[in-house]
Amino acid sequence: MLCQDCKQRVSTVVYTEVREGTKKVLHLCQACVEKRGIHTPVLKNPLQVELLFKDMLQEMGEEGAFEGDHPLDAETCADCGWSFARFRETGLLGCPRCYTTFGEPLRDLLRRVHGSDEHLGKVYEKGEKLAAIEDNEEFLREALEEAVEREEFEQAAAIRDRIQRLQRQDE
Amino acid sequence: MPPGLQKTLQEMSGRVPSWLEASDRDENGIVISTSVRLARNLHGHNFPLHADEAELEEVLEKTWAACSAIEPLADSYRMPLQDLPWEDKRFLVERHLISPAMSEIEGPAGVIIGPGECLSIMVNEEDHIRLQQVAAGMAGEETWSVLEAVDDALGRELPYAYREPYGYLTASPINVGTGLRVSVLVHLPALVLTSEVEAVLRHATQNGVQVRGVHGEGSSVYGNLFQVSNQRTLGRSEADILDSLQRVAGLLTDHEQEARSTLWHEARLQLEDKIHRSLGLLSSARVLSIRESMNLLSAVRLGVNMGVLSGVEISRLDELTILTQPSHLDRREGRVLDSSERDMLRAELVRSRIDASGGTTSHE
Ligand SMILES: [Zn+2]
Ligand SMILES: [Zn+2]
Repeated sequence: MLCQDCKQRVSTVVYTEVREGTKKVLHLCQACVEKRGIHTPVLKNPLQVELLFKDMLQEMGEEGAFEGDHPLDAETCADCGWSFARFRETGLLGCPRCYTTFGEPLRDLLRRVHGSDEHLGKVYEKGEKLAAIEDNEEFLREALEEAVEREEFEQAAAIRDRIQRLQRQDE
Repeated sequence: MPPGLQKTLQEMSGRVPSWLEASDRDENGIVISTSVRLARNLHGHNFPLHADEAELEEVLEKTWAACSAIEPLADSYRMPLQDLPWEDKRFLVERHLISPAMSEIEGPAGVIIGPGECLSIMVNEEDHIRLQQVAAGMAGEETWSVLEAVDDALGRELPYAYREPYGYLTASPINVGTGLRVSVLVHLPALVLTSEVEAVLRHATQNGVQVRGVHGEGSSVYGNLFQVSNQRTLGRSEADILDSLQRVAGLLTDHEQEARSTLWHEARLQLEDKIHRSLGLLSSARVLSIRESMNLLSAVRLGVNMGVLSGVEISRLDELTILTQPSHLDRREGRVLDSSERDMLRAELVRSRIDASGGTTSHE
């Protein structure tokens, strides 16, 4: 995560500032800590990305609209039922699909934590195929619902067949 | 519990992981070991925290079946953790085969241990699968190439959760992308003595690494061992991550060397006194706390690295840092000891391995 003051160096210090009764968590680099004249105790701050991340998730609530809650807290993953509130509480997601469910806010977090939102390195081709099947299935399920609503039963049956074929491919 | 399990644990307790035998590999005596860890998950399953018992069981079985089907894991040992007593889990933590977090998990989970304990695979920790490979010294490329082969083979057997643009999907967004965490274990006694360690480690974090003391917490770190690892896993390739850790290890080595040289030129008598006193205490004390013994072993290691002591084998000292841990002492005695019993047994064990003339005694 980048330093909030200079926005150039990696932040290495988490500092909680209390001013006029409101708490604010700052992520700063060593140089900016010194500039602000903040004293940090010896290795008290273990410099762990887990801790920085936890603070970040909490902060999201403080900026939120509903008395300390994030506006997205009630949103849940259609696949696993995990809510954004649970994510903020634990720092953990419920299932791989949650990455798609929590879309833009999660992407934003990733940018802040990693300075990037795109994987670089080893490519897992089989995974891309599985993801494509999964997307296809989701698309077909929506089409199936619509067909049933319109009472186009022949078409619905055909879609159901295609979903079953996809699932077999999945295994 | 499989009948052979207690026997396996007992056999393990009599030796140390095989990579430790080469822990004097780094000629400067600063980088003790390198470990690489990959986080992987199965497509179509909830992450462990959000999975029920049946799903965890299914993940465990699928993973075990896949592991026994692939060549690189042919000689590895599968250890179920669910019914393992807490002391035994603690023992595995002390050997760095499972994480402290894993020792708290109660549901279906397991660990696969490769020959010599260089490879371990945790199943159903925070992620479904966590693969880890360790080697002595600065060994990023070596450990990575071994682990990558295991990962390739396992990824053919199992459907990993992977999706563009994020790459390998993990329970925590902190690990998403490569899922790779490269950790280097460094011994920085001179920087601690000169009180520079804090500033040097903070400076190192500017290179995108995180640092923690291995023993103790916060300002009461003991044993002068620090673990340095990459912060970011997304948007950086495996090669890039390995490279940056190598660079930081080099940087820390330079600083430590400089501090050693300062001590040598400006406080040689005090330094030699500290080293010899430490050896004296280790070879004659009757009661040793873990904190004291770790600090003394660190000073003696420094003495050997700086040529103050001879005849002491580095790998024998490093062995003691594992064998003198609480659960290892319990196993040696065959029961759960209280801490004063452990302090006595620890001193006895250390004495039997380090003699007053400065020599180490190899195995009893
Ligand atoms: Zn800054
Ligand atoms: Zn989900």
